Amino acid sequence: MDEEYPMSDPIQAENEEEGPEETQPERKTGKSRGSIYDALDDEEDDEGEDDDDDEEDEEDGRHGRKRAKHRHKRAAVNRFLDVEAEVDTEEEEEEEEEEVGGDEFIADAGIEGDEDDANRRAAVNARLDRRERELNDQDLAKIAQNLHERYGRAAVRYTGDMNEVPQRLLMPSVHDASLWQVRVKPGRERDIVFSLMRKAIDLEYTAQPLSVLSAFQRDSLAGMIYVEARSAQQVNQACKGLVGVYPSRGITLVPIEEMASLLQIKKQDLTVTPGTWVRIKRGKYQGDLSQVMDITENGEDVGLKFIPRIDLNPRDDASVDGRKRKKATSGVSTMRPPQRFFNYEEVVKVYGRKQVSKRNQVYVFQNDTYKDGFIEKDFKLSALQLDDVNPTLDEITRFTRGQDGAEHENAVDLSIIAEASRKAAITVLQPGDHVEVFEGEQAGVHGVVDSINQDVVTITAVGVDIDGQKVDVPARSVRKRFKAGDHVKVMTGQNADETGLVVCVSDNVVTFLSDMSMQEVSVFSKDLREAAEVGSGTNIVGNYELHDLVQLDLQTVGVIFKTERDTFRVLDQNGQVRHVQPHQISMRRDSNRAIATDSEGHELRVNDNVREVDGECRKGRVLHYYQSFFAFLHNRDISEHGGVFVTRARSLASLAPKGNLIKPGTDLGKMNPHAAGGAPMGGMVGSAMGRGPRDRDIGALVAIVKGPQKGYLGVIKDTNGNLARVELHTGNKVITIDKEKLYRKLPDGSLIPLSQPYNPKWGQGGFRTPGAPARTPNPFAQANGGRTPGWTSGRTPNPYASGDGKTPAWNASSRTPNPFAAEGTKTPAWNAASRTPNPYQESGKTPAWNASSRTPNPYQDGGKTPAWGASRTPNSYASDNDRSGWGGGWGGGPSETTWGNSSPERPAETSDWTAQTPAAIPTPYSAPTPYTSAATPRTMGSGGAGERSAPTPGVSAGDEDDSTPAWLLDPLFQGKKLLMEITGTLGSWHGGELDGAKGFVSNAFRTLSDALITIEHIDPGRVGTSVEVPIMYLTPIPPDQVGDHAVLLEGLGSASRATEVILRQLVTSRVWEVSKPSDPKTFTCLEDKMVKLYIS
Amino acid sequence: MFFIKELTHTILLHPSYFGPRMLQFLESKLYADVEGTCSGAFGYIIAVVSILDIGKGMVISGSGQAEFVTRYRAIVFKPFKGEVVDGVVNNVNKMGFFADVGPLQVFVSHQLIHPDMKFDPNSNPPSFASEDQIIEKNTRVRLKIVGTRVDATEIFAIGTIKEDHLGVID
Repeated sequence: MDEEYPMSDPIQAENEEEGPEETQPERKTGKSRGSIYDALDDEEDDEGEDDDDDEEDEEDGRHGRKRAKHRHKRAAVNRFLDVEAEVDTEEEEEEEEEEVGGDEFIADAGIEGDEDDANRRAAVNARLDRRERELNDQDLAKIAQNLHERYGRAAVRYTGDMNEVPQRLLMPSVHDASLWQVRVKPGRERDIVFSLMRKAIDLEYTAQPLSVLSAFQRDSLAGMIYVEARSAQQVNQACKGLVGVYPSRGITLVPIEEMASLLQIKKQDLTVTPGTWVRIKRGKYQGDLSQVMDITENGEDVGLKFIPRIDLNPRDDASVDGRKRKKATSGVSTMRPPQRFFNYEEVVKVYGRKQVSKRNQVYVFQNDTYKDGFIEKDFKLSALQLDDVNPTLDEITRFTRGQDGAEHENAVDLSIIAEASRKAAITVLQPGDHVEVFEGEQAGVHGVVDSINQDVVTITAVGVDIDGQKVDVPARSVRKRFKAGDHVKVMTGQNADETGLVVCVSDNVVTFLSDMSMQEVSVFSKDLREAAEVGSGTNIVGNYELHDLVQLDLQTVGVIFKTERDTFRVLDQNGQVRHVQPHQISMRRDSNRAIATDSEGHELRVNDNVREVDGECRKGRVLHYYQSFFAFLHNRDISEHGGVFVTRARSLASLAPKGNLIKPGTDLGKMNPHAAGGAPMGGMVGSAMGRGPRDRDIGALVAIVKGPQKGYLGVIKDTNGNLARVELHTGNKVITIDKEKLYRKLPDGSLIPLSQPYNPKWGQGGFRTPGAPARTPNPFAQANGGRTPGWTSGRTPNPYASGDGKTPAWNASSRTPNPFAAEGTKTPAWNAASRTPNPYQESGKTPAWNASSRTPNPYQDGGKTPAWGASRTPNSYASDNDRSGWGGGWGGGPSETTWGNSSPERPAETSDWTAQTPAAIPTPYSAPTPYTSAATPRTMGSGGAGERSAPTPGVSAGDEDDSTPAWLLDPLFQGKKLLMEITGTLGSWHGGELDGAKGFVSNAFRTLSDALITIEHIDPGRVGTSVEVPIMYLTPIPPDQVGDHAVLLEGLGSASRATEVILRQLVTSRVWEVSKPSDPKTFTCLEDKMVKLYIS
Repeated sequence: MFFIKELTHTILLHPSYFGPRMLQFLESKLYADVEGTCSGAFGYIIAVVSILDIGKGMVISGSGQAEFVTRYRAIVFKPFKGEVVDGVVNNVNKMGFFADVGPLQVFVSHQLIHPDMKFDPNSNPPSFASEDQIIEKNTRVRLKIVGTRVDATEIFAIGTIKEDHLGVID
C-alpha cells in the first residue's frame, strides 16, 4: 500500500489541479473514484488470497514462485494502470485494463481447462509477460521518479512521528476533509458560525452528530462562511434549519490550493494605539481626521475622538422628534454640515433642551457623546483608514486648539503626527539628501545619504570624529536636515512647489520664507527638498496666473492673489476674498490698455506706481483697472491678501510725475536722430497711443476648421488671448474657441488663417469711391477744425493696421501717414475730399460740380487739405471713367490686381518703415505705377514753408512725414535737374543748418532703409557744392512763372509721367496751361503736379 | 562683500552714432547699461571704476550696427552666507523686518530676532522693541546673512540678528 501512494497521490493531485473550478458532481466522481481505488486494493488483496487458496487447493502449493509471481504481476498491473492514467489517455487505460482482464481471464481459463496445457501456456505467457513487464518496469520506475520529482510536495505525508513538522507538510491534501463555501446573509456570518458551533455541541452525542469538522468566516469576505467537512451533503445537513444560511445558493468546494490562503491571516502591522491619527472611511465624517482614544480588547472597535458635524440648520420635520431622523439623514447627505466643535448652547437653541443631556462632563446628543467639543464615538476598525492618514498641520492645530478656540500653550503636539509621518519619510529619502540621525546610538550624527536599502540608510557621516565614514542607520530614525538660509522647495502637500529660504528649523518642522508671497510657511522637513530654482509652478493654475484680472460673474471681477494647488484666492472689486476654482472663472480680462484718471485728473495706466491720497495712504503698483474706476494694486509690504488690495482709481495719485518722463536707460532707437524724426513725431506719439485698437479680428466672419464644430460659420464677438468667442450662424450659439481653429472667410468664399493679414477694402476700393462723399462732405470744415483729413484718414482706414491688428504697425502708420500707407488705403474718404474741389472736373465735363459752390476753391486756402485730396483723385476719375487719360493711367480693373499682388508684402514691411524713415520704401512703390505718383501732389500742396507755419502744428506735422518725394527714386526722374528744397530739418538733420536751402537733384541713392539724394546747391554762396540729403527732408519746388520748365509728376492726357513741359499761361491760381517744349498743344495742369526744372 | 572685478559688456551701436563722439557715447552707454544692475554670478555692479578696453567695433552685417565688446573694471557687491553687513530697516511687519543693505534686500525673520525683542503691533510705525532697543523703519542694524537666493537678476537674502554683536547700531 505504502509504496503505491507515491503514484496514486499525484494522480489525484493532478486531477484536482486540472479542474480547480470543477463542479461538485465531478468532484464527487473524483472522490468516489478515490474510494473505488481503495476498494480495489482491498478486493485485490482478497482476490489474491482467494487465488492463493485456489492455487493451494488445486495445485497443492506447487508454486510458491508462482504466487510470488502473481503478486508481482498484480503490482505491475496496478502500476501499469496508474501510469497510464497519469498519461491521461483513457482509451489506453481501458485497453490496458482489458489486457489485464484478459490475462487473468486466460489464467482462469487455464485453471479451469486443460491444466497441463494451460499451465504450460500460462507459464510461457507469464514468462513472456514478465519479460515484457520487466522491461516496462524500468520505464515505469523512471516515470514514477519523474512524477515523484514533480509532485514531491504531496508525496511525503505527515506521519506524526517527526519532531518538527515543516509547514508545507501541513498543507491540506485530497485526503483531508474539504472546505465548503456556504452563502449566508451578509453581516450575520459570525453569528451563523457560532450557531453552527452550538448545534454541533448540541448534537454531539446524539444519534446523528454533525459531521462537519470546523467552520469559520472571514471579515473580508462578506456573505460567506466556510465549513470543513468530508462532503457537501454533510455541510447541507449541518446548515439545515439555520436562519440566514442559503444552501440553495450553492455549497461550493474550495479548491485545495485556496484553502490555505483562506486561513491565512494577513500580517497587519497597522497597530492602532491610543493617540494615533486615523481617518474615517465612510459616512457623514468621511475623510475627517480623528484621534484614537481607546481600543476594545478584541481589536475590532476603536473609540475615536473627532470634531463633530452637527447640522445647526436642520429641516424642521427632521429635527426634533427622532422618528424621522432616518429620512432626514438621507436628505441631508447632499450637504454635510461643516466641522464645528460641539457647543451646548447652540445645539440646545436649535434642537431644544430635551435633546441634549449632560452627564458629568459629557453631553449626550442624539446618542452620541460629546466631550470638550469633540464627539467621541466607537468605530469598527474596518471603517477606518489607518495608513496614509497624513494629517495636515492645519487639522492638527484645529484639533489641539480645542473647543474654545484658545490656543493652548503647548497646543501643537507634533510628536504624534511626526511619528505618523515618519514612515512616509523613509520613502522620500533620496541619495544625496542631507540627513541627521535623531534617535538611537548614532543620534546627532548627520551626513549625506549614500544609499537606501529598504529600511536601512547608509549615510556618509559629516562630523568631527567619524567624518567620511559610512554609517548604517534605520531609515526611520533619520530626518532631512535643513539649516537656516537653505533654499528649499516643498515637494508635497498643499504648499507644494513653494520655494523659499529657511528661517527656522525646530525638530522636523521647517519654517521658511516663501519667495513668492514673502510669507512664512511651516512644513515638515520630509516634504522639503533643497532646490536651486525659484518656485514658479504654483503661480499658474490652468490658464490663470497670479495677479490676473479674472471675471467671476457678470458683476464681479477680481485679482488672483494666491494660487493654491488647484484653487485661487481672488480679491474682488468689493474687497471680498473668494476662493475659486479655475472652472468658476469665466474669463481672464485684459486691462493692459485700461486707463483711469487719478485724483488730479491725470491719466493712470497699468504698472504705474501710485499711492492713495486718502484712507490708509497705501502705496502700490497698479495691477489692473476695472471700468476705470476700481484699481487693483500690489504692494509686497502689505501682508494681507498677498499684498493685493483694491481701491478707487479716483483716490490715487501717481508717485512719479508722468507725462514727458523719459525712461532711464539709453534707448538707441530713441536717440537716433533719423529715427526720432524731430518734434512733430513726439507730439503725435502721445495722441496716437491714446487708444489702442480693439482686436481687429472682432467682427470677422470665420469658419471653424477643427474640432466638433468644424465647418460652422460664425462671427467673432470677442477675443481673449488666443481664444475667440464666436457667434455661430447656426443655433444662435456663442462658443469659445481657439483662434487657431478659425479661418477667416473671405467674401469670395476662400479661407485664410486668421493670423494672416487681411484688408477687406482691397479689391473694392475702386467701386467704393463714388459713395464716399457722404463721409467728408466738406474738407474745409476739417481744415478749419485744425486737423487735416489726412490725419484722420491716416488712422482709421489704414489697411496695414487692419492687417495684423497689432500695435506697432498700427501706431506706425498712424504716426507717419506716409504716402505708401496712404496709397494703400485708397479710401473713399480721401477720394471724396479730393473730388469736391477738383478743378479738373470743374473745368469741363461735369458742370454739376461747378454748382457745388459750397466747396470754395481749395487752392486759395493754402492748399493744405484739398491738395491732399487732389492727390487721391485719380481714383475717382477711374470711376468716372469718361476721362480717358486718367482712366488709362489707372488702368481701371488692373488696379485691383496690382493691389492684390503687392498686398502680402506690405504688412511685413510696415514695421521696417516705422523703425526708420518712411522714405526708405522698397521698390514696389517706386515702381512707375500711378499710385506712387499719386502720393506726390500732396507734397506739393504743403510745399510752401509759409503754409507749414500755419497755426496748425498738427497739420504740418502730418504733412511732414507725408511729403517724402519718394518718386525721386523713380528711374523716370533720374537725371532730370529737379529743383528741391531742404525742409523740416530744424532740430534734427544737421541741426537745421541747411533748412531752406535749394538745389537740384543730381543723384539719388537708395540704401536699405533710407534714400539719400545728392543736391547741387543753387543758392548764392553755396553754388558748386553739393550735399547728400535724406529724402525725407526734400520738398519739390513747383514752377511758378510762365516759361518755367517743369516735369509732370503724373501722366496727364497724352503727356506721360515725367514729361518735361513749359508753363505757358496761368489759368487760375495754381493751375497752369502747359505744353511740351516740342508741341504747341497746351493742356492744363495743377501747379502741384509739377516740379520745376533747373535751367542753367 | 565688495570686489573689484573685470567684466565685459557688449554694446550694440546704431550706425548713426558712428562719428567723432562715438567713444564718448559708448562710455556713457556702458555706464548706463551696467551700473546698478545685478547679475547672479557677480552680484550687484555698483560702479564702473575704469574702462579697460572699449573694444573694436565690429559692424554686423545685415543691421549695420556695430558690436563693441567692452572690458571694464567695476566694483561689485556680492553677499555671502555668514557675512556680517550693516543695513537700514526698510519695512517692519510681524514676520520680521526687511533691511536694505545697499542694493540688497535682507529679510530678518522674527525667529532670527532675539526673543527679547517683541513685535509691537500698536506702535506707529510698527516696530520690534525690547527694553532698551527698538527696531523700526530707518533704524540702522548690523546683521549676519544666513542665506541668499540668487536669481539671474536679483539677489535676496535672509539675515539674523540673534547673535552677539548684532542688532541695532547706535
